[in-house]
Amino acid sequence: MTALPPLPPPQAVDVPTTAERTLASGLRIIAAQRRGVARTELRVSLPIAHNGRSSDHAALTLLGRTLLSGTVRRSATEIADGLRGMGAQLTASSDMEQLRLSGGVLTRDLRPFLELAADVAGSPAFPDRNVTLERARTAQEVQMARRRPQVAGTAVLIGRLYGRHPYGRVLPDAAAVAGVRASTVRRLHARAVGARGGTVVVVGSGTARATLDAADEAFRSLPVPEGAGHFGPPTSAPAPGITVLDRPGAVQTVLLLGGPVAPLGHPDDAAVQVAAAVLGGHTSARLGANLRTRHGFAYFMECSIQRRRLASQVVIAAGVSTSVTARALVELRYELARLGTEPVPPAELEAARRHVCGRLSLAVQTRAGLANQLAGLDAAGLDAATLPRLATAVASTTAEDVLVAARRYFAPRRLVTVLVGDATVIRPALDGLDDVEVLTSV
Amino acid sequence: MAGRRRVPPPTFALDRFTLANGLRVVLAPDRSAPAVSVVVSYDVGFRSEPEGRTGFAHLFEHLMFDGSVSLPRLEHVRLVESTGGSFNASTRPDCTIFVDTLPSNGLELALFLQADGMRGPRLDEEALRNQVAVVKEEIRGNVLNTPYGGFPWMQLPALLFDTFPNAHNGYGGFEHLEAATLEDAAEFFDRYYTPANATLAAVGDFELDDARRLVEQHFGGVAGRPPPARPSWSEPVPAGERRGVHRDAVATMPAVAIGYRVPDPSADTEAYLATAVACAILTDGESARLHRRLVRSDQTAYRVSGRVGMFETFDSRDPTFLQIVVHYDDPAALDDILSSIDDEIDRLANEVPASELHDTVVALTSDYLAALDGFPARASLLAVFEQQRGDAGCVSGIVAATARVAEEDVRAAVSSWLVPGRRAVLTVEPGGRRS
Repeated sequence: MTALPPLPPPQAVDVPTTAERTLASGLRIIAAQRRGVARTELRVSLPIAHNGRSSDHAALTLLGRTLLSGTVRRSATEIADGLRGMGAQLTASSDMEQLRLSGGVLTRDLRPFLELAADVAGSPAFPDRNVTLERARTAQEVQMARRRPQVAGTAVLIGRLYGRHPYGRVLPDAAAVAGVRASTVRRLHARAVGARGGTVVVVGSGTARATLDAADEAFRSLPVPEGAGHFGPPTSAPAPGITVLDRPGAVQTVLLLGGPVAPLGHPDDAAVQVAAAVLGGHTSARLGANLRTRHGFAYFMECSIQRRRLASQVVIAAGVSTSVTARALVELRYELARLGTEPVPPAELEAARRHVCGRLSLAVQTRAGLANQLAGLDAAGLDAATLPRLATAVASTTAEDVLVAARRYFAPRRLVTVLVGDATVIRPALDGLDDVEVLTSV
Repeated sequence: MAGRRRVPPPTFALDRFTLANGLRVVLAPDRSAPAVSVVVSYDVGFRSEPEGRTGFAHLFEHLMFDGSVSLPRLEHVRLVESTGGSFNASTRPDCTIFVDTLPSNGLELALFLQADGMRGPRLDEEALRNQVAVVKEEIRGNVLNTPYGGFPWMQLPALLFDTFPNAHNGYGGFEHLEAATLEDAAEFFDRYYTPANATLAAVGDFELDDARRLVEQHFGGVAGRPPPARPSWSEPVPAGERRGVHRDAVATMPAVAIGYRVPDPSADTEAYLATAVACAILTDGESARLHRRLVRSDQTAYRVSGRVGMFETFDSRDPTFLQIVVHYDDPAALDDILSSIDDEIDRLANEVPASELHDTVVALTSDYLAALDGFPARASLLAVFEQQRGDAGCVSGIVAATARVAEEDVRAAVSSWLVPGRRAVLTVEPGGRRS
C-alpha cells in the first residue's frame, strides 16, 4: 500500500516564443512552433465592417457557411478534393462581426494549404447554385438547433443579456436564411471582409520563422475592403426575474444563468476566473458537489466564461430532472449568493487557484489548443505573454478579491435566469421564488 | 495538388512490460509539452453486463472512482482538478477507460489515484443511489430530451444483432439501473477489475526510468486475481435486410441509419481497414461520394455521415459494424435515398480511382494524427491497442497498414460486406412539432 503523494506544485505556463509580423494590408500574422506529430494548425479571423443591421444577420451567417463553395479560380469540388489530398481540414464560420477559418494540415503541404485558405478567404465566388443549396441546409439546421434545449435556452439568455445589440442575436431566423440571395452575400463580402484588422495564427511542427514566412507569402495579397467601421460595445442591463421557455412534455429542465463579466486583461479578470473555478463547471467544484454529488439532481453542469470581441459573459448551465427544477434553482442561487457573502476557505481557494493555473498550462499543450489561445488573446488585443501574467495574478488572488468579484459579477440578481422545460409542471413552484415570464417559442 | 506520397507513420518510443500481478503497462514519453496523461483501460464493457442489468458497466464506471480504498467520495476528481487537470471516464462495448490528464509534475499523483481505484471502490449505498440518479439524469439529458439523442448507437445494434451482449443498449433501462445492488457491484469489480484484466498507459513529459519506478511502486502491490475468461461474442451476419423504426419524441425531421457488419477488427485488420477506407470514400467530408450524390446532386438529404465502429474505429472487438447516417426533410424520399446509396456502393465495388483512394488514405491518416496530438487520446489508444491486439505499437502500424490498402481490397470489402441483403435500416420517425 502506498501513501497519497503530495499535491504537485503549480508549473509555469509554457508558451513558446511567437514570431509576428503586420503586413502592409493591416493583416497580422502570429506563428509559433509546437513539436510533435507533423501537422500545422491555422486560425484566421477577419473583421466584418458592418453596422450590425439585423436584416443582414441571415446573410452574414451564410457568408461563412458558403465560403468554401467556390472561388474565382476553384470550384467547390476542387476545394474539397484539394483539402482531402493534403490531409487538411478547413471550416469557415461567420457572425455579425467576424469571419473565421479554422483548420489544420500535414506540415509537408503547409504552403499549398495556406494558399488555398487565402484564396477562399479573399476571393470567394459564392456561386448562385451553391448558395441556394446551402441556404436550404442551413435553414434546416437552424430549425433543428432550436429543438435542442440548451441552444434554444442560450438564444433566449443572450437575447435578454444584450437586448437589441447585435450580440443579442444568436440564431438567425430560418425563413430569412432560406431567402438569402447569393448576390447579397457577394456584396457583403466584397464591401466588408478583408485584411485590415484581421489576424492569421499558425502553429506548426516547423520553426516559427518558417511558418510565419509561409503565411506571409500566402496571405500577402488578401484584399483590403472599402468598408470601414463597426458597431460599438453593448450596454448590458440584465433583466431580473425568471424566463421559462416552455417545452411541453420535457423530462428534464435546462437551467441557464448568465451575466456580463470583466474581459480578458481587465484587473478583475483573475478574481473572476478564480470565483468561477470555486463555483465551477468541473465535477469537484461547488455546483458539482451540491447538484451532482450531494443531491443527484444533475449529471451535466458547466460554468464557462465566453469571450466576444467587445464583451465577456459568464454562463452557468445544468440539466436537472423536471420534478426538482425549483429545488435545483434554489441550490444554484444559494451557491451564487454564498460566493459573495462568505470568504472561500483557504484550502478551497488554493485548489481553485491551482485549477485555473494548471488549466492554462494544459490549454496550450496541443498545437490546436495553443492556436486557439493565441487567437483568443489577439482578439482581445493581448499577446502570448498575457498567459503567464494571468497565472501570476491568479496565484496571488485573495479570498477578499473573490468576494468582491462574486458580488460584482455573480450575484443572483445580476444574472439573467432562463429555464427550458415543461412550464405547466415547473411553474407553480417557481412562482414563490421570483417573477416568472413564460415564452412559448424562441 | 499534392503528389502521390505516403504519410510517414508517427514514431513514438514505447516501453512495454507486465507487472507480476498481470497488469500490462505502456509508457510513451513525449517531452514536447509539460503535461501527462495516465489511462487505465479495463477489458470490460456493455457486452459483459448480465441480462437484467443493462447499463451496469456504465453505472459501475461512475462508481469506480466515487471513493476508493483510501479516498473518500469525490476525492480523486478533486485532487486532479486541483492541479488544473481533468478526470474522464468512458464505457464502450469492450472496454471501460479512465483518463487522468495533469501538468507533468502530477505523474505520481495520477498513478497513485489510478492504483487506489484498482485496489477497490468504496462501495456504499449512498454512493450507489446517488450515481443511479446521476446516470438517469445523464440519459434524460443526452437521450430523452434531445433530438436524435443516442441515435443510432443505442438503437441500431438491436436491429443488426440477435444476441443479448451485442444487441442491447449500453445506457440501459431505468428499471435495470434502479435494481442494481452493492452485491452486483462487488461481484462485477471482483470479476472484471483485476490487474490482469487491465492495461495502463502513460504519455507525456517524464523520464522513462522515473515512470517505470513509480508504476512499480504504486501498482506492484495491487493484489493479483485471475482475469475473467472472455467469451466469443461472435454471431452470424443477418441473412436478410432488416428494417426498423425508432420514434423520437423531440426530433422534427426524419433520419435514417444504415448498419452493415464488417470484418473482425483484430483478426482481419487488413480487411477491416479496407472497410474503413470505403466508409471514408462514401461519407467523409464534402468530397465523399454520398455527400456529392445525396446532398449536392439528388438534393434529397442535407447531411450525411458515416463511421466504422460504434463510437470510434479502434475501440471494439468483433463483431462490430459500419454505420451511415442520413438526415433529410421529406419522409417520402427514403426509397430514393436508399437506392442512391446502393447505386454508389455498386459503383465503388466496380472501380476505385487511384487518386481518390490515395487522397482518402491521406485524409484518414491526417485525421488520425490530429487526434493523436493530444496526450489523453494517444494514451487511450495505446492502452486499447495493447489490450485488444496485444501490441500498443499498432498505434504506428495502423498508419502503414492503411497506406497498403489497395483498390482490390476496397472493392472486395464493399462487395462482401456492404450488401443490401445483410444490412439493417433504422428510420427515425419524428414526433416533435416544427417551430
